[in-house]
Amino acid sequence: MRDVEAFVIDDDFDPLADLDLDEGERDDAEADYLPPIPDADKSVVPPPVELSPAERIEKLLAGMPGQQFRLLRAVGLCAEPRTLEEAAAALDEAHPSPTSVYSSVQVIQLLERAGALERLEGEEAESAPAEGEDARATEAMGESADADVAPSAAGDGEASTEGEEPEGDFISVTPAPPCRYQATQAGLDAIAAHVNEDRIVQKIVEEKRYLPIFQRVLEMTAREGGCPTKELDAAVDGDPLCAEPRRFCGFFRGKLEETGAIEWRDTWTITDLGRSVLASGLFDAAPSAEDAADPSSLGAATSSDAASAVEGVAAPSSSVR
Amino acid sequence: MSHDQEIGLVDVLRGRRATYQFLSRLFRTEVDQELYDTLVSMRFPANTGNPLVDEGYRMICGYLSQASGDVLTELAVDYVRAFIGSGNDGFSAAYPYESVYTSPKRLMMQDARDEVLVLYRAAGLAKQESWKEGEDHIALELEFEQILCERAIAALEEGDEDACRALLLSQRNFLEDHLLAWYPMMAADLQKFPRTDFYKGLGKLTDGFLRNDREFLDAVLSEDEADASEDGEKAEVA
Repeated sequence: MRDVEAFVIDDDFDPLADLDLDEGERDDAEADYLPPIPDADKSVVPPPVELSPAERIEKLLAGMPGQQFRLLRAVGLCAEPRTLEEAAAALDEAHPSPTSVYSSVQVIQLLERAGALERLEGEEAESAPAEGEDARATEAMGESADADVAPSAAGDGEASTEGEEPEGDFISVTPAPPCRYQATQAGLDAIAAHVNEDRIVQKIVEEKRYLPIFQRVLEMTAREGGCPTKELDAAVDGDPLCAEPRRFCGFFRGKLEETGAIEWRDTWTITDLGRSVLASGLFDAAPSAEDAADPSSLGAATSSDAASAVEGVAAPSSSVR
Repeated sequence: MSHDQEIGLVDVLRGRRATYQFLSRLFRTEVDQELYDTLVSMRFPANTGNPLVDEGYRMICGYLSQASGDVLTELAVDYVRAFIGSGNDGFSAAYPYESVYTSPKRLMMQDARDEVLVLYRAAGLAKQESWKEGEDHIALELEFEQILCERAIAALEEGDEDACRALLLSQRNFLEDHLLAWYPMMAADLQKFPRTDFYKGLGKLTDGFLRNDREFLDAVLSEDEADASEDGEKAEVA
């Protein structure tokens, strides 16, 4: 039997022979590198995706769900033209503790970029110059440090672009022209779409069996000074309506917060919008907690609600409040 | 060099040193309040004779004149957009490292970094502990030129013309072998990635200044060589 059945040993193989390997195809082939870089054309900035102002505003609001009413408040505050300082001060007053990384000035700039606000420049804006601009102008015109110049010849002054102050062979920074911010139609439309009672009502009646819970949360947050989280949790978490499926207070609080019915101001506090919903009579026809907990009284609930209720909500009510 | 020439040269060298320092600072980190206050109180040259420098200064000045609101945050965001980017393909920003622009795969810490490190060490320089980036960062290369400028000024003030000439020669060599060998490519990227005119202007300003500086160094060093050969001929005749 031969040692090798399947292969034929090539006795003529010469390991030192020229195998005509293409040096250029080797990965480790060394080559002197000279700029420019061959793939420099890959260094491109992708073109921006064109979105309408309404789309940009929605994207901005969706990106900061916890701050959407602060953003919309800023738009509302600029229904009449305001300077940046005025608008920021008004927003700070309206939202003293926003728990956001974005300052009021940044919020206004974000809204301008999204198309919810527009800058008014020129005569209209100049009619009410912003405070602080004079000071900056004085500063710019006062002691100035010349930029040291590389060896160069200085000639006569050249027409400078807008905003710079030519001083012969030098230009200096001048204060930004007075400008005011005003809400755009897209911004006002966003307010109309997001800040309305219908949105809150729609969210609340999604599951009508929880109407008493929503009512309880709104009433507790309507107290003077608002209501702390712990107290709300204690009032809701133990309710039989929340037993099956298991719900916690955060579920209801979240729905009310995202629709702008309540807001966090060191405690949970009802908003004007929430107050008007509470006073609208929405909860007058609502079943009491005891009734809602009884499967036989679910006539007004949606079928899915009824199904979930029939499955397990039969425990006697033990309202904490 | 005559006495008048020396006085003129010292002034020019001081100007170069200040410009290198200024540019190095702008590339090193984001603009802070102190730098911003300095920038808004500065006067920028309008007619240097170099179109890139003029346009760069005009763009920077124009941006600062139009900016309102939270300028520092806007500039910090643009700094990241310009020099750091958000991609990992090596083509997402104007990366401020010589290695990126001089290695085929656009990698950091390549040969260029080793070369400049040798030069820094030869000049008796070591990086500070606080510096965590590669040594071939544009800010460090510009600062190296600034330090050589300082040494040249000191040599000139002490009357040591030979040392001054050697230092100017070192500056020109470093400029040709390193800064000008790659920065123009970064300058091109700096017109693409930043959103503000501030960093676009910085890209042009630096590009123009470096080209200007090489012309200046070439002129000064060729004058010195001509003077030296003239002196040699006179000595031979005598």
